[in-house]
Amino acid sequence: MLLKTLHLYNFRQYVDEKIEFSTDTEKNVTLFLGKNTSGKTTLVQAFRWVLYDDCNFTGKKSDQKNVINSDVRKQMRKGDTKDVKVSLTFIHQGITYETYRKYEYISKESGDAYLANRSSMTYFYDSNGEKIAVKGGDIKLKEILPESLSEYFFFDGEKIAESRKPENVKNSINTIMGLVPLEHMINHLENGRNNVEKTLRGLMKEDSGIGEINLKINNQKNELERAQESYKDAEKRYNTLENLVSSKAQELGRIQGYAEDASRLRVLDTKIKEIQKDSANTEIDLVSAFVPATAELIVNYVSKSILKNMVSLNYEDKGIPDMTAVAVNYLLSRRKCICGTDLSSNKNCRDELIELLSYLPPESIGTQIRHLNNDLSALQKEHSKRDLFERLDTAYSKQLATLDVMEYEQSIITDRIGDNRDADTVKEEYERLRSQRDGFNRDRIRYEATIQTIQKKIEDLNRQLSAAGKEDRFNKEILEKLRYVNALCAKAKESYESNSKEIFDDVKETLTNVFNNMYHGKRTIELTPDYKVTLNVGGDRLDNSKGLDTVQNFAFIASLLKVAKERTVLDLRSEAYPLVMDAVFSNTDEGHIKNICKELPKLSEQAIMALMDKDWSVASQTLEKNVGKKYRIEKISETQSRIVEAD
Amino acid sequence: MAFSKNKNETTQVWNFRGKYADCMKDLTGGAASYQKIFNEIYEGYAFCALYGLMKGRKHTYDPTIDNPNNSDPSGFRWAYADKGGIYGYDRLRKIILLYGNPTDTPFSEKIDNALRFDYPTNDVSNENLIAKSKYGDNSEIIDEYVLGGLELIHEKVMNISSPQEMISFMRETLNEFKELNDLKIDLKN
Repeated sequence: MLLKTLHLYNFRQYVDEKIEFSTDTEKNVTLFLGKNTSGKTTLVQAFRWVLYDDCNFTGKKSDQKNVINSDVRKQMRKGDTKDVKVSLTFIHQGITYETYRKYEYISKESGDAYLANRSSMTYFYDSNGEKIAVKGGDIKLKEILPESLSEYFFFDGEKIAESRKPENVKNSINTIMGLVPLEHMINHLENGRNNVEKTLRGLMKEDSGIGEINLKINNQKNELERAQESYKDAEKRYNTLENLVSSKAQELGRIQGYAEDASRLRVLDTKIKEIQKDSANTEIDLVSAFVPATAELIVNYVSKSILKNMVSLNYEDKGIPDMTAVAVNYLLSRRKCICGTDLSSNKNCRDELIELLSYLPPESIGTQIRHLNNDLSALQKEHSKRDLFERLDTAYSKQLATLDVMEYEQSIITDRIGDNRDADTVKEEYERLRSQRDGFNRDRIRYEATIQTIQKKIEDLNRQLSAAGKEDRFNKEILEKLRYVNALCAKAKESYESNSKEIFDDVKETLTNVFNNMYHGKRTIELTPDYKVTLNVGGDRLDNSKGLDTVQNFAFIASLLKVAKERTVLDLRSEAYPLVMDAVFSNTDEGHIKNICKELPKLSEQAIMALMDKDWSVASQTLEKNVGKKYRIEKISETQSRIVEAD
Repeated sequence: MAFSKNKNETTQVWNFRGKYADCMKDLTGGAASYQKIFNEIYEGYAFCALYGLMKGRKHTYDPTIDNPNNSDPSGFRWAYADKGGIYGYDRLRKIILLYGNPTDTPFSEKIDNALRFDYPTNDVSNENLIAKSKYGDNSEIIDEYVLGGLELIHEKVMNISSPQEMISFMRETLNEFKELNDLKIDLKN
């Protein structure tokens, strides 16, 4: 695959720009030079947009919809329509393709517009130069350049560290390495095999129990199909979770030291909130207890004081022993004293008796003083209210002291843990994912065992069928044909597997060589069978810097390109692929830049690079001779840039 | 602010008026939660009487200056005053009259003032006997301590601006009275 031209129309800051890429085999580098924010990233993202209807400028989903040029949008009047279009022409396996994607925007109010329609189309030019539409254009594009590898082919040096690891990399790599025809053949043979087998078995003469054996074989095959479906499903889920576990493990590795702190911080947060709430309640209780406690203390004191005065008091009890107010009231009511005096005429005597009432029981002053004495004696000793306040105060002091200690610990941990407050939840999430993954792994193993058991049963039944069928010449011929069908399918699979393994070995070897040519440190590069790349030191995996991430990923894609360029499968030449790069050297040191530039033209059939001038000043020393086309991206305003050919 | 001990009149309402009503509203919940020191108005009445007594603060309501336009007086029914413990009105009245000013009044006379008032009320049917009683209820003395104590405690509590300050004030106040309790009692009183 070689990219020929790109036409950007109203796409982000490009209003109408046409670019031609170098397809020269020697001078295979097309260079775009530009300052920061001039539009280099937009240029590279335009490839993703036209091919996969996807782009990423700010990491937001809305990026994909907001591709219209801001000036164009602002100039639109109510009812206006404007198109955004990107067209790309490229050559794949000797055929020229043209593909475009178009968004139509409509303005509902002046100065603004919304995305109303989307369309895309892919054509190819036949041998007469006639333009013919490709059915299912988007699907065809993804076959030519799988989306799962697009992050490598459209390489963003600034985003590489945060990019997600693509899934199904192995299948995608096999696709670009030219195993597609084999894949199609296997699918075709597998789809037809069951029908062919059923038809052939149906033709057999059903004597010697052959009918019954065929029926059993068909039943077992149906069971096998179901078990294989279940296995595939479990395998798919297992692989998805394996990727998630792996990515979570990386995250966990980075923050594991903080998990205990994060967990303690969570406990502290909860406890501090609880104690704050408790102490606020205690404050309210203390305020409620204050007035009764103070009143009690005052009454204690006053009672004590009154009692002291009572002791010193020589109060003369004017009462008469054994005489009560009832007797005096009786004398007053009969108006005659016990001495015979007429109380109605003798006022002095009457007043004397009335005053006497004050000193007689039931409520004589003496009795009242005695009652009061008892009452105050009890009051001066009362301390329940004061005790309650003191208990609350002690509890409150303890709460504040505990709060102080906890808040101090919280501040220490907060400083230490920084932004890793969720470290414990990452660990929990990792454990959860791992447990789910193990569950699907168990399912996978169980289905695998079931498949083997069924396959063994089918083999036994086939042996029985062969034994029963060999007596009859016609049946014997059919059995031969059945063997042939199975052998054909097995051969196709074997060929796919061996090619796939060869590709892996090639990529692994090339990766090691390419990496060693580019990198000059102590790390070694490793490739797992599912094409995961890691850097190790003495067998231990370490975290990469952004620069090392760039070198690692660049070595990987460069190896794929090299192997793709050189391999042939079943006499079908595999395809060379272009490499489109933005800010490829952003995080890379000068030594690595030179090494990458030395390897780049050799590894890739076509390289398209967007660089800043400062990076080019280093890269040009080794790359200048390979540049076939050079452009400069000129920023006209914040919303518009243009691309001009440079010398 | 008249007071009657007639049991049939316990539904009568005793009111704080003017600025004292405002003070009582603040201390029963009108201000910040930590300034709400009284759960009910009668509790405030009883506490302020004791507080005024201890601090020697008395006031008489003066309708010409004590914000007479306040139309929302705080009050309580006398029924609430008829309770036991340190807030029981009968006991409160006795200890205030026995302990309170004037200091030059002989203690025997204080006894008469505090205790003799109760006697005639046991026979309210005998108008002659009530008329003959030379001892009044002296409730105006209690009320004067209430207003004095309220003004003082309100001023202190309203100057507090945080729960922590309130806690300190409460501790200091309690310590002050605890220390007083530890002192030798002055017999002259």
